[in-house]
Amino acid sequence: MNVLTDLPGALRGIRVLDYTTAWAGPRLTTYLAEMGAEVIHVESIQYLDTHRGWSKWAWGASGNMPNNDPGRRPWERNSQYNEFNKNKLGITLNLADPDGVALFKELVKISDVVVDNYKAGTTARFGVDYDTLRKIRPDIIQVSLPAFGSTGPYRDYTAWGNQVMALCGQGLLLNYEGEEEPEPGGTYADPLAAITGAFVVVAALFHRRRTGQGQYIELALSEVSPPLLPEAFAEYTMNGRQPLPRGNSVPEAVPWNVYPCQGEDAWIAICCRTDAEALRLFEMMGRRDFLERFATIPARLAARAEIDAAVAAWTAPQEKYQLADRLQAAGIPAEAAAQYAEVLVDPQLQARGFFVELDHPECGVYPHPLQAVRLSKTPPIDYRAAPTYGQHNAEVLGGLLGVSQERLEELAAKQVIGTEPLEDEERRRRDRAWGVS
Amino acid sequence: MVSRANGGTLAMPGPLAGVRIIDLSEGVAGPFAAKQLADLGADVIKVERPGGDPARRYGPFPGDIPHPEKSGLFIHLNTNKRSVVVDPATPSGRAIILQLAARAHALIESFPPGTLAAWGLGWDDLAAVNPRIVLTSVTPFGTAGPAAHRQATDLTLAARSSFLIAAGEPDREPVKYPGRQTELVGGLHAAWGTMVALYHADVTGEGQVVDTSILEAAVMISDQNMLSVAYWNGGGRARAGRRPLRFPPIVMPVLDGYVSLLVTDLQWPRFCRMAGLEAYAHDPQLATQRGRIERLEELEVAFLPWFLSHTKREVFEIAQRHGVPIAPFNTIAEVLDDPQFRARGYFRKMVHPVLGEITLTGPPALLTETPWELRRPAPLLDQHAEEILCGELGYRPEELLALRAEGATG
Repeated sequence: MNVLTDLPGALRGIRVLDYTTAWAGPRLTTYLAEMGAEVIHVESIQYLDTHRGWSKWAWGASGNMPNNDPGRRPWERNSQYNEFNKNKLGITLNLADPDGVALFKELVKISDVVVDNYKAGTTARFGVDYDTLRKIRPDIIQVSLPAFGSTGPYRDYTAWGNQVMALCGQGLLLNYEGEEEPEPGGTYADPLAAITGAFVVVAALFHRRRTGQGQYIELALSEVSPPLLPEAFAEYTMNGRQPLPRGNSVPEAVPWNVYPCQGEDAWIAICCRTDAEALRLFEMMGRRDFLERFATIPARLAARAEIDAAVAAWTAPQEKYQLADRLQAAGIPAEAAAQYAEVLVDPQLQARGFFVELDHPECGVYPHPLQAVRLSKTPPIDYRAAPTYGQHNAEVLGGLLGVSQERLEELAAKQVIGTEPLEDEERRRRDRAWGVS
Repeated sequence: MVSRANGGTLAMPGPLAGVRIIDLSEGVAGPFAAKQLADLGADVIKVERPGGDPARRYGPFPGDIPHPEKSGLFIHLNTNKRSVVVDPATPSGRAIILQLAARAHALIESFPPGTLAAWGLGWDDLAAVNPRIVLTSVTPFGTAGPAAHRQATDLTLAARSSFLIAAGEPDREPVKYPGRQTELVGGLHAAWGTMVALYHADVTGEGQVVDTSILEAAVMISDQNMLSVAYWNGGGRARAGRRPLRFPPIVMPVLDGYVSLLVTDLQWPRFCRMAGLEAYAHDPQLATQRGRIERLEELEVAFLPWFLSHTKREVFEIAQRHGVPIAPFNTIAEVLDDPQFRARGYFRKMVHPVLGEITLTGPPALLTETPWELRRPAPLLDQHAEEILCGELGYRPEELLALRAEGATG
């Protein structure tokens, strides 16, 4: 087998053809790439990956660039694109062009897995749907990630991850206790779909090893999400009650909340699971009066507001990390609420080698998060920063498929391949509206 | 392997048919990991310590009355598993677990680091009886490192991972996602790591340890924020709250509740058309977020009446017809009754021996050849002791009685 990236991981020898965009799809295939799969990320110079940005305004003002500077090639500098596409080879192919589709199908013949995350029906429009691909590679595993699935009344609907979470019931539960207007959360459905999909793909590869059989896999973001709300579905189906948002508290224990600390936006989470932990906390607070009054869970549950106020008054002048360590020394679960920058220097993550420095030609050397699992014999690896636009056109199309240099130049002239996004009137118009040129 | 299931349809086994997993884990993360494998066809033996998995004591319960066989959380986390009670801290219990491990592909555990080894069930002990086995640990911080022995809950892990600070009002305390998200996401990562190691063992015959950190899994929920803030110390998405400086906003009130929106500049003209306010689509100043922010009040006054005169269902349908990504904030009842979930047969009903009919969430993925499948509800405590210990390990009934008498089994 002709291989470009002979990585030592568990998925060595598996080739993934990835024409995904934005978050869920690209992150799914990066999980595979970190375990040794050779992932070829297919983009086009006609349509930018959502996370490469769609205008110079988005490039400049999004806060996702090194030093917040879009540089000369801003589409290479977006943290979201660069995080979700590391370890991959990057090529360009215009799938709206018959030559692009033909080359894509040549790659399918030598690939094991094909992944997309477009709206249902898009693969058929490009002529690369499962029924077509299985004819040229019978054991191919094809994966699609539509928002709501390719069947049913919502098959043509569009949504980002946060609309999916609202529709799936999580939105109304993410809130402060007793408040009605929902708190908007993040794009949570995407990371759930990415990790779930990576798991399912390897299960399908496992099955293929044993039987030689490929298959089509559909992960609807709306169907990945409900299993993460087991208590809510149980509460309604068993008791007929809509669960109410609880903020940071739980129904069975007090104190259990997030409390203020010294500094701006500084907080600490403290959870007393047992009477003994609560009493140790009250001793540390010097509240001997609480020891008798609030010795039992029923007594504490009945006085949640009073106790929380006392804990907050005690934590407010304290430094969050030192306080967390003192509480942990007393055996009480407590952690400072980290800001993103603080996660980068977390001693536990550093000791586990969670951040790996990668050198990107347009960005420089920066730490990238690895994975939450360490496999003792085949550890995940981050070895290569995300590809620049069409960076591996020559290696993949020339080296793997044997396309001649002359033909590659023809394809470039026809804009089937390229190394920079095409100028686009819509983008130019928006740039002008933002006063950038 | 293909067998006819009820209704005469041809039921195919999942992709992990023939794979055996020993699930020694307790609580949420480990059991959720083992469930992922069980639902794809693996035979998962849930080994519970005397007294059972502590998750049996977690609510909700019918009528709010705790009962170890009625935990609404437990029945979701333990589908497709069989249960046997074994005390791994006893010599006979340890022997049973080694016998099970000798016949298994993977063992999943969630005890504090060092516990398994202290019982004589660490990696070396397991590999001695089965060098191909995968040993997956799911712990708050991973099995080593300066924090490995700290105490943790879902809330403290959300805090330390920065998952917590992503939601809530900017001028108030951050607010956690509902339920036990860090533990469940930790479970998904443990299932992933286990699956990769199972694949490797199938290819090479080599077993290994999969050391899962729930803290790191929680960081992975927004891993792009880590690179963003490394790129620039002002990077990373701060929590926007309910009133972010943008139009359209992220949440809008409607006649009967709220809808969720995320409208880009490209979708702005469609948004205007959707609300019957076509003129705004042609105003060049409003083509970008910056321009719209300058006229925020005017736009709110202009668009709010349309939203307040439609239900969330109506807004959803009209928006989607216009290609605008808007969705309703649904109650759980509305999710269960949602036309899309109904059309795809997503939610599943089963009969549980104690609870009667139960409703469970469905497949996170559709696989055409090897479907996700609910074969059995969560097991009762020690339900399959005889089947496993006598039927599969060959203990005689009188030996089982002796094991029970000495407290090694249930």
